[in-house]
Amino acid sequence: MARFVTLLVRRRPMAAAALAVLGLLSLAALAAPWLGLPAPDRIEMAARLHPPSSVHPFGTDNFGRDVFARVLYSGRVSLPIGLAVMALSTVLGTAAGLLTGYYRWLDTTLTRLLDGLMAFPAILLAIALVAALGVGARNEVIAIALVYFPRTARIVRASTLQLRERAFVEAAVALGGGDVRILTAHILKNAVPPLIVQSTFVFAEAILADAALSFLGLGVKPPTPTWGNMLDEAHVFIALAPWFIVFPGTAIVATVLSLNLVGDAVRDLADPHAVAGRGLG
Amino acid sequence: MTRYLAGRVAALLPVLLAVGVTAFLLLHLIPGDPAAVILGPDASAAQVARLRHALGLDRPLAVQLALWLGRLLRGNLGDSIFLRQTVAQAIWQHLGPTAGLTALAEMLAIGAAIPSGVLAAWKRHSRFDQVFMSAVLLGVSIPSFWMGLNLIAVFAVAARWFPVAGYESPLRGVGPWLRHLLLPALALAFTQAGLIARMARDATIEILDEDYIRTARSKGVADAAVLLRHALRNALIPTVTVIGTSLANLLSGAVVVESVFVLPGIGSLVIQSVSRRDYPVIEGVVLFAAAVYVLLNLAVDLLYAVIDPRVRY
Repeated sequence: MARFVTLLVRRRPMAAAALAVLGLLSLAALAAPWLGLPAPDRIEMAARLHPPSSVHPFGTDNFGRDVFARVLYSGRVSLPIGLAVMALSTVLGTAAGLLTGYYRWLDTTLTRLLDGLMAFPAILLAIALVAALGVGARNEVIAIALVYFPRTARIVRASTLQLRERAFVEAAVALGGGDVRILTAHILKNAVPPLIVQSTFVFAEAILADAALSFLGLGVKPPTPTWGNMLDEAHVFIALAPWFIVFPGTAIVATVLSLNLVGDAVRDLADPHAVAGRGLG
Repeated sequence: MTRYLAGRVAALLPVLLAVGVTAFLLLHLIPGDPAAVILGPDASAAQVARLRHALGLDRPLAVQLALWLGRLLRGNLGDSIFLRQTVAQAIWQHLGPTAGLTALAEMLAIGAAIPSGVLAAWKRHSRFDQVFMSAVLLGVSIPSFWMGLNLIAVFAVAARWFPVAGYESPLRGVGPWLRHLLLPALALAFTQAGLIARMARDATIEILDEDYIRTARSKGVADAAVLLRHALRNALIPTVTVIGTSLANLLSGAVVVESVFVLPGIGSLVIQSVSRRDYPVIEGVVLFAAAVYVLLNLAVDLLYAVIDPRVRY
């Protein structure tokens, strides 16, 4: 990890900055209760929709609640949801990718099924899944992970198909290695770099999907703040308090942009054939 | 060509079947009894039993699946529980705004993305390329609904150039129709432009390294001609693929953007159906969108033949 960060700072300063932004956002979300902020659900009807000031750096919302505190507390909901989606879709995608890539007899059926799943527009499928499973953080994670794991599966499958033909796998088979050992110790281990890159992008997509779902009222519900449901509340007051839409949205963009930058950098650094200097940072 | 077409269509059937089965399973994912969930807590046992029968939920799962697939093949998506119309009628009624919105957004996105992507590739590593790459990354990182909110705040609320929300049918004049659709289309186009532009740049970079480009330049063909006649045409081929997938992405984004701009499209239909627990409509829309995606990709494959004469069947 330390070596990776040094490499990042030297070769990809923008991505290193993005990593710092992610760290700062996570730290702020984690430490939010101990930062001496007003409680995110403290209503102050006398201070409704105040513009940013020294007391309320991001202003107040329609209930006079402190927007800065609510933006930080949202990170306590949206970031874990993104992490959970990333974990779940990585596990599901890795399993499906290894199986379809290694066992030819499974490949046709399962791959077709995954292709079918990928034919649904992402947010639309997530909405339908949430509608069927019920609203709530857990079901939201399941819904978004189901939408994105086929993409991960496709990438792991591609790596598996290549690695399966390599001499060291053949040698392991000849030495009598069991399927489980070959799949994990030989194939999965070598498929990790693209998997990390993909997981970073899934994290970013999950943050966007969570924002969209909770904006539509299908995610975590108010009064618990999320970046998406704050934007839903801000939408109503857009003429009275146009600054209110700025802060939750900026938090989303900062998170997603940073994840994309880090993902791009990891991909380029992990790929020795990548043209130096291509892309940002 | 006919044989190729037949082969492509035949390859679609299993995917469409997988799509159908997935959509069918959606209703059966509902924990507990879907009929009871749809009717809510106040329904009597007799009402629940009647709906169970109407939805066919009292039959074995395999029979239900077979009946549902059979119905689908005849183009029957079922009936809405809440609206007094079939699911197909409901979709048809809400299709106009969504089709207009996605078409307009795609045109805006392509119009911005392809020229800038090709130019960025031509001037690789220049100042323009750096700005271009930042814009692309920003485009794919900004949620389209937030982009929409910002556009409303600036161009509808502050400048008053556009209406804040709502829709006007194109039958009542193209001007008002465009005024209502332009901001949502821009919001959607921003993300799409990012995806398409990145593809256009990558494809052009690859092509600029080809021998025939070097030949053209060494025999003294002007830069503009090399770019337009030799590079652009070939760069379009991989870019067309991304346009196929991006239209599906647009449908996804449209759901949320429609809700920002209160457009009575497919997205609004879905969101309303979710709050009404009108599962047949949700199922139908999801299925419809997937079918559109699959058919669009077929169209893209066939377009290859038109753009790239090297593709022979």
